[in-house]
Amino acid sequence: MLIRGIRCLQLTEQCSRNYLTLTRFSSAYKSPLSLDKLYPASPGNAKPGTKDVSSEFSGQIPMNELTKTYSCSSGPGGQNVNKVATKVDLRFHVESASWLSPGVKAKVLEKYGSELTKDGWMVVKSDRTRSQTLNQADALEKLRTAIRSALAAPKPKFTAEEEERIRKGKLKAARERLHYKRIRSDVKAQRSGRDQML
Amino acid sequence: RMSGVREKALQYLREVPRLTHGNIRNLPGTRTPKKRGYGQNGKERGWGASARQKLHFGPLGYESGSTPIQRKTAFERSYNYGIHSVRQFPPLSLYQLQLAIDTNRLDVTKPIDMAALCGTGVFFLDPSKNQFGFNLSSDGMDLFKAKVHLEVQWADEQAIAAVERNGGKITTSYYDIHSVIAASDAFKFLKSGQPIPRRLTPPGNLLEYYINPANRGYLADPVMVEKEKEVLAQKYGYSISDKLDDRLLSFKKDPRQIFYGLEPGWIVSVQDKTIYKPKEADVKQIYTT
Repeated sequence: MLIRGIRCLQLTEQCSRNYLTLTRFSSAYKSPLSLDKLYPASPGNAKPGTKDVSSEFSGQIPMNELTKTYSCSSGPGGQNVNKVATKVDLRFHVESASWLSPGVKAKVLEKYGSELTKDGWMVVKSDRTRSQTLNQADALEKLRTAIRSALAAPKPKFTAEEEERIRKGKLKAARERLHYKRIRSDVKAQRSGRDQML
Repeated sequence: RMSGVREKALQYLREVPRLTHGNIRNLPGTRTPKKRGYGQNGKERGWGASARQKLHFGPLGYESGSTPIQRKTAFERSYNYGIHSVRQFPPLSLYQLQLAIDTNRLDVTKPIDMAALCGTGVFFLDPSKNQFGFNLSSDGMDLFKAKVHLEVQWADEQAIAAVERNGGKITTSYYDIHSVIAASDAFKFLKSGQPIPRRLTPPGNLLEYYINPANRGYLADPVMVEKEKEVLAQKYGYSISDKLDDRLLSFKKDPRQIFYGLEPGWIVSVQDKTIYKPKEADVKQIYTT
């Protein structure tokens, strides 16, 4: 007869849902704190912004372009780990990915070309936590980090200061080696006894 | 970055013409004076024969060598110090919410706020215990699949993501204690015959929380809230645009309102099924500021 959610109105013997149907959920009451007065420049229901297209990777990934698979995680956990699909597997075909610009795609293929599947799919997996939501977030973070690291300029092994020190060190080593070489050759020359005045 | 002492020392080196014994000083604490074996450091520790012939009480609070009471006892407060003034937001998990929806305790076609949640008879708020509303926790975020228009008082990031992933709307809204008293037991409040109060603005440190679009605060800029929605969708891996429901988005509550459709200042008589509204201009003015 009734839905149990209206317990608060079981006042009179004739209980009905009429009270709730009379209530309007958007009334005309507007105090000075209403949002259109606090933020007059903002429209009432703002629409989401447009995607910006640039040569660099902004971090934005269209979710319908990724193939998501959920499976059971490994490890201990009994019934819960056996039944709950917390492992997340994200895949996309790199060559045909429309959301990566050609420059970005080339760098990704260069760095991760050998790690793609035979058909050219990039796979990112995560079963780090007990929750599918968090694992999905982790997998996306891994994917973004991978793409950014492919785009990053290769870091030089030594800084400019260190290079300079190494160069000077090599010259010094050469100088010292020659210095001791000359001393030894003098010693040897004096032992031979040649061209000595008697 | 160099420490302050090192920086100062190097600056000094740049400024002085030359270093001499007169310019150089040890760092404080590196050299301690050597203790001599008499007086305070001698066998009797300053309480010997020559000291006993004089008036000698020791330092203030001295208790003949045993640890004095002012050092023995700690200035510790009770471990629940301030518990009566701390604002509490008892948790409401997504699991509990989904269960309530599945068992028809909550109607998903209508907005769910504090009055609706407390009206189920399953979730309780006690204003006398300083409970200011519900804290939507992420426990059960993987199995939450209801599309709701939700208004809670606190929410963590994953809970917000779970609600928005299913196409719902979530807002965090502040209820001062009198508003909580009204909304937590709506029937009891309406029976008391008091006019509906206006909700107060959040105090000091809470204002920051409710103005922040990342928390979906009710005082945040709607444009910023939409941006944050996109950010969260990108973080947790779902798309938002295809599940928007205009009817769900049309539910609106003013920051001064407690109940949907009822204005502050009105007296609602459930028995007579009438609403009494104030007529005097000065009374109306109070409730519309």
